[in-house]
Amino acid sequence: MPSILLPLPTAVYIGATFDPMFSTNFTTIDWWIVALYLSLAVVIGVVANRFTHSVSNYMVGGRSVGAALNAASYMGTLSALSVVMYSGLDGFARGFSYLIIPLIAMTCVAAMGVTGFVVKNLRLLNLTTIPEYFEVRYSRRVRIVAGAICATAGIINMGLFPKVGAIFIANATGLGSSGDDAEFLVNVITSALIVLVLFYTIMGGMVSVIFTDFMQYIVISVGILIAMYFTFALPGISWDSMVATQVEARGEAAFNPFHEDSYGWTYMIWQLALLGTAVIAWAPEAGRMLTAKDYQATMRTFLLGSPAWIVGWGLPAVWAIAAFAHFSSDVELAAYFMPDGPGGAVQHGLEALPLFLGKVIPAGMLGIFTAGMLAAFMSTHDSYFLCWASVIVRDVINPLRAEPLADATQIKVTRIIILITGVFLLIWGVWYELPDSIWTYMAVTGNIFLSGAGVVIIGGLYWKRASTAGAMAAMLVGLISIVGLFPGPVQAVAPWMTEGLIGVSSYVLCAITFFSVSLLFPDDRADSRTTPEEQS
Amino acid sequence: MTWWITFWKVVLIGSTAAYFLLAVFIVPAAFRDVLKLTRSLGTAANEEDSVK
Repeated sequence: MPSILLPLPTAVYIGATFDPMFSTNFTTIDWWIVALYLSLAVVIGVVANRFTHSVSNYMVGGRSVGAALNAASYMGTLSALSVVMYSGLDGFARGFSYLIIPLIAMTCVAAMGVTGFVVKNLRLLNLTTIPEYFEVRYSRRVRIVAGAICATAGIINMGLFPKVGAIFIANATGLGSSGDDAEFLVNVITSALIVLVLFYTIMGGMVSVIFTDFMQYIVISVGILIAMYFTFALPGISWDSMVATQVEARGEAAFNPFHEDSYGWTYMIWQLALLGTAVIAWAPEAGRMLTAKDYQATMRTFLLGSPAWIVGWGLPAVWAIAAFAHFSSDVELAAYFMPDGPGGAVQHGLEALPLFLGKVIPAGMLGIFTAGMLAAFMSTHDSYFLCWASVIVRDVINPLRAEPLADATQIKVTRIIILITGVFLLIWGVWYELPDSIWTYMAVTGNIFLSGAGVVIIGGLYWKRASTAGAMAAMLVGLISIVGLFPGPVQAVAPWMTEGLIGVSSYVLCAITFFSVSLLFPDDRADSRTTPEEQS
Repeated sequence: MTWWITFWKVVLIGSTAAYFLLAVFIVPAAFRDVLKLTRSLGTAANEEDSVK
């Protein structure tokens, strides 16, 4: 076996026979860069452990994080590798139309940053978790139910992260070129990354998450610059050539998301409801409003972080559109990714983006870019691990007990739950074969909590007649969203029920339930408690 | 279709420019926040934070 110090392609290093079509510029130098970065993340996790003395430090960074650091951490969390992969898939398969999804999210976040709508009031309540609000505004039982739904939906939502991470690693590093030989090795690497994240999250809690997310924000930003530069430095790739390829392959549907051959109106309305509520209620991202030192810092976090939606969620789609233009001019790659021609359905779409970047970014730079993407992988996992474990401890276990757990016990139980979640993810995400429809899976699992929580939070803050019965009913009705994971039986009965319509229906049903049950079963306690001052 | 092509170009260039322009200010400010946070988390006041 060649020396690991030599800059050899990955497949040569592992001693496998490989297919040149899938080989990339990734060499042992790039592995060393990645290893160096990962070691740094561990050191930060260990250092952050020194600052973990209380529940508030462990779960919300002592509620004393400045706007700039909070925004950097928020952007680190947003830039998930799973999102890069999903964006790459949709950019490759649908063209520029996909950009409407990050644009909707950016608009919602920027609007909340400017107006303080919802986020200001939630920060003023000094919450530790989002479901805590449900007890402050409604009742302890609503908090327990909301916490259980929130954590369950969130942990299942993470299920695909390791798998897409593994696909990225396999294709960007060239391990994918050695076929089945490397599958086991890729799973081992992905598992090792999860163990690494578990280590520093368990050690340092939110302080560690904020520090590593800040570092990851820098590395991700550098990685994005590298990918943009080498994509457009490629001969034959320019804005005009990408547009021309899309026009030829898909026509207007490649640019107009409302076109009947693109996403369509109902899907867009669903995305508006989903992303609008995710911004305020999807705990890992929304949780950053609770870590800020005051509500002004919260608003600035959202405003400063808003362009990250286009950069983190949109630019990968642009690289994938470049990959589409590049691959369509290569006979072998076109036959693999577009067997029915550029205008037909794409195959192996998830592999296209990492393979393209692995081929166009030179050795050395590819290591920095891959470290950036692994940073995105890790920064999402750490926030999610901590977030769901905090919700289980604070919003399910504690409220069920007569006396809340002591500080030290809460931290200990949170660490145990993080570990259990990590073990679940290793089994479910790495070794279990999941369906390929990534965004639908993520959106539907998010819907389970968000369809009920969105209306219950906004209604609780701005509608005096919102009642406990209405909140409980809406949260439970939101569970119907799980139908979206199995659309087949629904569409067999009602073929007109599209993916988008199923998604929108859950929000409409939750809103109708919330308002009607609140009016039918009012509760006196809620009548005069819509402002944070009244609720605290 | 021409309208959409121009629209996406403006959105991409505008957002990317805003992101990296802000990063120039955010990174040093965030580093100062890290220093402040490490100092403040060591104080007794935070350690007395009650459990809700």
